Amino acid sequence: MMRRTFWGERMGKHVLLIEDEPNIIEAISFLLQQDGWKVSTHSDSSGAVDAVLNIGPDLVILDVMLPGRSGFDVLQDLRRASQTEKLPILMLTAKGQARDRAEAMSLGASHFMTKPFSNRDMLAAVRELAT
Amino acid sequence: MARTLVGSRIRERREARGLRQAELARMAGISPSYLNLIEHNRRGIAGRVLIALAGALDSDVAELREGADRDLQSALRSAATDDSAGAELDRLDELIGRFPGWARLIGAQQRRLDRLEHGLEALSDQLAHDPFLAESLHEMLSSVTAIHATAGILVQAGAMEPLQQRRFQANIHEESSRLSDLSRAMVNHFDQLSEGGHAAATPLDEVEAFLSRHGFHFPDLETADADAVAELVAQADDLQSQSGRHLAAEVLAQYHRDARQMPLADFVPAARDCDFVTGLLARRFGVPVDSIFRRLAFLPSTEGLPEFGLIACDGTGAVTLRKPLPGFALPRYGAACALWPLYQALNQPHVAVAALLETPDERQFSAEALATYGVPGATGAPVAIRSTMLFRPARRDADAALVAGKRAVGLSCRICPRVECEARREPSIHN
Repeated sequence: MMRRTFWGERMGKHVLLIEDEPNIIEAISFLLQQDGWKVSTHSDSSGAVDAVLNIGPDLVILDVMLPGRSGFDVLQDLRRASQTEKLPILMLTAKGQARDRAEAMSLGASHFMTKPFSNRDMLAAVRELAT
Repeated sequence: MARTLVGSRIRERREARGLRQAELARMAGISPSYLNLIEHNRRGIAGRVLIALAGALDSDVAELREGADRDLQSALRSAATDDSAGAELDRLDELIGRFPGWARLIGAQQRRLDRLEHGLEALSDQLAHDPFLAESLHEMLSSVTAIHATAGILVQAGAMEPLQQRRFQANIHEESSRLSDLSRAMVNHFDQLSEGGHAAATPLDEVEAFLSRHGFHFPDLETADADAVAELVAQADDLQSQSGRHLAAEVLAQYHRDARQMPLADFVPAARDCDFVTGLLARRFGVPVDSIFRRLAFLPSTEGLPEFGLIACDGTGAVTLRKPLPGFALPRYGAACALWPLYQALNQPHVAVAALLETPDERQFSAEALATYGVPGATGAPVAIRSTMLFRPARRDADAALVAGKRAVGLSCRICPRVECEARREPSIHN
């Protein structure tokens, strides 16, 4: 597990990115930081819920295919915790099938994006969910 | 139905020989009007008249009675499974008799359709469950995502620290190398599929390829000590993964234990003596009946010994061992037909379950299965269960007792034409 924090200037709003691919982490972090967000990252499913509770972000970007438990499991745990039951969560997945989207939404995801995504769509989704 | 078959065949053969009804009637010693009724399917025919007509037409009685076109009939019936087309099944024999060329064409098209559907199922199965493809596609999408996002930043972002710019360039280079490796690996994988029909995509595939190469029989294990298992596994090029070697070692170790309990020199004569009835053999050797299943399935391919198929699964239904037979294919991935005794046995451990199975192409196989619990590691510890099913082409007399319980089964739901089956868990491509 590796956790890093980058500071941006968007009213101190904080995004936690839970993703295991280092080059995707670096690109999204840079993109959001340039857009003024404070960005923290967490690279696997173990301790992901604790990371959310400790950091208290305004938005979580959560990859579905994580080593260990899936992003769906993490999402479910976050929705059961009172502190995070209404936290905006943007799910990322390489699977675009309707059933994955339906599962994400039924478990309480705020938005669902399929990889590969455009940077413009990512920024638009983050801005809409966290502001 | 049989009457129609016989009449149409008699007329077809008479016309093929250029005989008039009167000539054939005279040769068979019957009146032309009676022959006319027979040929137009208005009179039944059997006994001496049939023998006389067969002789006059230089045909076998059996050929006239059952037809040389049994496979053709089967294919035409299969083609008529789509009820919406309104095919007149009750006039099938008339079709064959009056329009043999069209009937053969429809039959050939149906067989081709069947082959294509099976091919489609195999490919669908492969694509849906092949762990290599699933992992490769995930890796590929991750790389593409990283490149897409990074390239977008490099193109759209304004001023950037040179160090950060170089890092992004390095990331793109790294991901493109990863994509290159992945694409090569996928090409190799598809090459293997096209060359060998199927690549050994799972450890179970490796084990099946290994067992098949040895004809599912290992003379070395019949007499040698248990060390021979490790040697066989170590020398097997087919067993490339650690899981495959582990699985093969378990299968061979069990083979060795079975061979010790039932030496081949004793088992083969006993099997013949018991007419290959598993229960009798189990009593004779004092072993559980699933030991007999394995021993029969792993007999040498010697003339006079029937060929048996075998499939085993664990408590989740996951297949752990398979030996297919012609006409009774076993799924490479996913679950098989829920109606197989293999799964029924899991619900009643230590009780043998037998059934006569009829496949969608009307082949019959007798099958028996037994599920047994393993030995718990400690008091209260979970106990594993395993089911084993032995099957062979049905024998008309020996399996007569099973006829009442004949069961219409398939291979897997996806290609099974039994669309109304209560055990169906997904739509069939026949829908």
